[in-house]
Amino acid sequence: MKRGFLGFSLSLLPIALKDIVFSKRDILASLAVLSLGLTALLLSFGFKESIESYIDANARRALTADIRVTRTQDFSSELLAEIEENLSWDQRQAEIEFLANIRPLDGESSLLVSVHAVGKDFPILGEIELESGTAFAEVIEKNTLAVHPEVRDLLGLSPGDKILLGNLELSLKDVVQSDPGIIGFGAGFTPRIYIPYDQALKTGLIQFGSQVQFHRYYTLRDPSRVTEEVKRLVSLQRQEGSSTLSFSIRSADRALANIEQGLGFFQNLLSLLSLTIAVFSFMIGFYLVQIFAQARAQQWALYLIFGARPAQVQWLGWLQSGLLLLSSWVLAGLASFFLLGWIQASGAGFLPTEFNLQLGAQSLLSGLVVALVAASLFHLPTALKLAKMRAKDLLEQDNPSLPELRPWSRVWPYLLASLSFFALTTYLFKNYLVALLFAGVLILNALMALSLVPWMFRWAARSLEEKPSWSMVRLAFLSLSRARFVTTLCFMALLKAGFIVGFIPHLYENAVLKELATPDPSELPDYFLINIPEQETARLEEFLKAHQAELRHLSPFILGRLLSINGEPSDQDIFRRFPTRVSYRGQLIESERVIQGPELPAKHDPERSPIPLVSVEAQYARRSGMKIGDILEFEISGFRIQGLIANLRQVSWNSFQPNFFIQFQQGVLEDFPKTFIAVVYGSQPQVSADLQPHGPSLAYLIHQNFPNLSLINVSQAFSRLAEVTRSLGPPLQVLSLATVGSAFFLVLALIFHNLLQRRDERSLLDLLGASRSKLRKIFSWEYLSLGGFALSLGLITGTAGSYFVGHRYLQADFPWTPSLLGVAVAALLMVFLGLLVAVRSSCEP
Amino acid sequence: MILTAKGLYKSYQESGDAKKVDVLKDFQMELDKGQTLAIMGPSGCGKSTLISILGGLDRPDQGRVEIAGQNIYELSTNDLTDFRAKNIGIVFQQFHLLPHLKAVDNVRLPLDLQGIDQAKERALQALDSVGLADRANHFPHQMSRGECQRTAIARVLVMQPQLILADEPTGSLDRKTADEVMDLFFNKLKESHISLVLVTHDEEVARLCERRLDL
Repeated sequence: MKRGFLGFSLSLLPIALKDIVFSKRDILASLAVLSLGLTALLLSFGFKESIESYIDANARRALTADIRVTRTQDFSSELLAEIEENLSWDQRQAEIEFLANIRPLDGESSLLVSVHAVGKDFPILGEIELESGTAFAEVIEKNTLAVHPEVRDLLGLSPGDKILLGNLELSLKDVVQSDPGIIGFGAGFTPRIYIPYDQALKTGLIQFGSQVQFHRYYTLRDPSRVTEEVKRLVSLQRQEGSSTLSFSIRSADRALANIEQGLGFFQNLLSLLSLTIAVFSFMIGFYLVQIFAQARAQQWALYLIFGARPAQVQWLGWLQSGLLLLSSWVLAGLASFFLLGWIQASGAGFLPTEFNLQLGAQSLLSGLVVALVAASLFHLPTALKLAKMRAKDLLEQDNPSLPELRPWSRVWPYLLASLSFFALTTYLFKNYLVALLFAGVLILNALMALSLVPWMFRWAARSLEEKPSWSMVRLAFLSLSRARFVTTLCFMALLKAGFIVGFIPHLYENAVLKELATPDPSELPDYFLINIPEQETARLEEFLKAHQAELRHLSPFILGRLLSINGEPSDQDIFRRFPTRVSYRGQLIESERVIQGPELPAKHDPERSPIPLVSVEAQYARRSGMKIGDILEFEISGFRIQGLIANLRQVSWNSFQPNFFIQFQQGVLEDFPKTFIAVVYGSQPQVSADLQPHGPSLAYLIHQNFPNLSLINVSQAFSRLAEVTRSLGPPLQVLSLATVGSAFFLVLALIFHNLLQRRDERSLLDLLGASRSKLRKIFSWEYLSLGGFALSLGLITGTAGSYFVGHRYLQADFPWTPSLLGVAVAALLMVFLGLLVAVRSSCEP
Repeated sequence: MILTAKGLYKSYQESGDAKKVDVLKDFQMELDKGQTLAIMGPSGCGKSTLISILGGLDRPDQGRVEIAGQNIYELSTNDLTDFRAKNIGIVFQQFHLLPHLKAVDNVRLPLDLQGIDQAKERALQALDSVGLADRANHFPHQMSRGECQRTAIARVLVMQPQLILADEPTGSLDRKTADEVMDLFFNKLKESHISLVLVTHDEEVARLCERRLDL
């Protein structure tokens, strides 16, 4: 009776399953290894999908419109007409946004808030929900305001309380329960308040040159055309002599750019680590499947003799490989589901609001595709061998084995696997170069393992030939002098583990911790002041002196727009969306230093340099594609100003000093409208680290006497920042440890399996007189030498890599010495490896 | 005639070795239905090659093999596989039972491969006929070598072939077990009128066959 593949598969499925169950030790090892790799990949896929879903679902909502146009001055009717003529808009809204301190009329505390003056119909997209359930439109009336919960909690307010905002007295009407505009990382350091649009001017806080932003929001008739609409506005923005020069554009698709960037960093790190785990687990899984297949040669020959077609036997082989990978995929799915939930729960500090980390259908499907492709690739060498298999081998050999392949036939399955891996890496990183780099590093590792390692141990064995007391060690080295698959895999896995152990602690200790190290409290200012009107600076200094406080580093703050770099229009997203903040100073302050180029002369001398000189912060310059010698052109208050980059600076941002990305010399920008920023060092006792409002403190007095400026409590701000960054620490540490642990686990699984495979070798040594202790010595020396060399090499290259990253990208002086933590972890791994191998190898051969 | 082999030639040339080795030279034989034939000869004389050719596992350089009137080497590969599965049974020296299958599953394997109904019942019957009904649910490692070989014989008999080829069936058995197994085997052959070509070094076993051929 002829049957199709389905009929054949169904009849042989029980046999295939029984075979798998019977070989449970090998299968369990394969399942464990492959599940680990697939779990790592599913985590990465899940995170990627969650980011994409979050951005898709929230981008438009976060902006509350499709396009937002912003100016630091109010829009004239002519300008608005020009903009709206070039936009296919559907609805529009206006908003004024600025920072200010508010205080209760009857209280003695104040708080820096972000004021949003809006109309009744704000926002266009989404809805601001209030705690009382009242419609937002009803609340935005004359002399009333709605606040975010933090404002109520920090100032101890209740509905009906009177609030002073600049010159304006307002009544608290309601508290905001949900606000689409703050999706992302929460309210940040300045919680929001909403006041009626027409009340903004009455506060007296909106002055020419102050940090006010006038927004116009637009939804489009066809939201899918946002890119084209933005392009039209950008070309309008660049027109020569047009009054449209001075506005910035933000579109919904880029509304969550910062979040996407931040999450993208974590996503890339997760992808890197998960790919590392995956590649080794798949390599080891491949090895185990080949062993499994090799042991099935007899079966397959029997099937051929009893009437199975060669294609049917091939299918059976693939079916077994497929069942294995499918089971691993199921286990990986379950593990990933729980792990993502754990990351979500423990990473709440660094994940944005309403971010839902989950394993979606797309991720599961991607994982399934990987599993099926892997199953095919795993089976491919066996398939080639099966095609050459002769059923009569059962008659000629007691234990038939799969025939050997020719060299080219052996290589091309690995080529296909490499291509598949390259495709997977490109999918995860969306970058061919990263994929090439990753693949290149792996190939380099493999070449080292196949050439350097055997050569090295061959030389070492030769050097021990005349030393009988080192015979066991010599035997171990001779074993390592053969380029075997297992040795290669162990070396690569431990090299990678060593690299991670060398790289991450070194980088973390020297970059992240240093950047975030809590400075000496006595060095931190008490307050950071912004929006200081130019005419108030002298009075402010006197006031502070009278209160035993000191105003330091009073720095001008000027808003402009970067138009071009070396004459080429600057079309980078960040310059389109935000004004550029520039300053000028005669000398550097203690939180900055020049790292490339000469110091700027304090004052601009047109005879010496026709174009004024500027100093740019090094990281900012690198991100923006600027370098020494570039000519920047700005638009400031309608005038075009050029600056020649003369040096690059390194800034210590966590010093909370008035620092700027771009600084001119003196004598260039003095006549432009500006406000000032500065820091205050005072006799403030016990600056509170929590977010409690202060009593009748210097902050309150400053606000009472200078209502127009805004004040940030530095220690509060710093502890919030540290809290967010600290929350990033545990997941990063766990991921790194998980990668190292996984690599180690994989290596152990491989070694133990290999020791089992080498039982004939051990039996022979035993027969020839090797005692248990000698056997232990041989195998321990073998794996410890390999592991020690791989881990040390990895540690050194990891430290060097960290040094390179620090020097090249962070302009930091990293020490050459490896991290003590890294060395300790590597040593611990070695000891653990040695103990386990010693125990395992002294078991009955 | 159930089996006719005419003018069989087979030679091998090892790679890298210019010299060709002639394993079979103008070999011929005939076998009637129900007849048993022992083939004997020194190691390397071509006994296993002959079994392979007669079983359709290895194509001769020249010559023809007819089984039940069919020239098997005129068939396509798939048809030859089907033909062999239905008409030819092979018993091996090393039994070649699948270690992960119980006896009944090992015996029904050819039936499963051919999609034949009532495989389990037929397998149990076959096991019973070789005196292993009580071992049906035992794995090969739980049975003695004699029991394993009897299971292998049951696996061959379950398909009711016209011809059985046995390659050193007692090679892995001790004398006593070999005698027991062969007595059983030959009784079954007689009952079913199945023809047998048996390759052996064992004179005692060879004597059980009606004819003998020395290579």
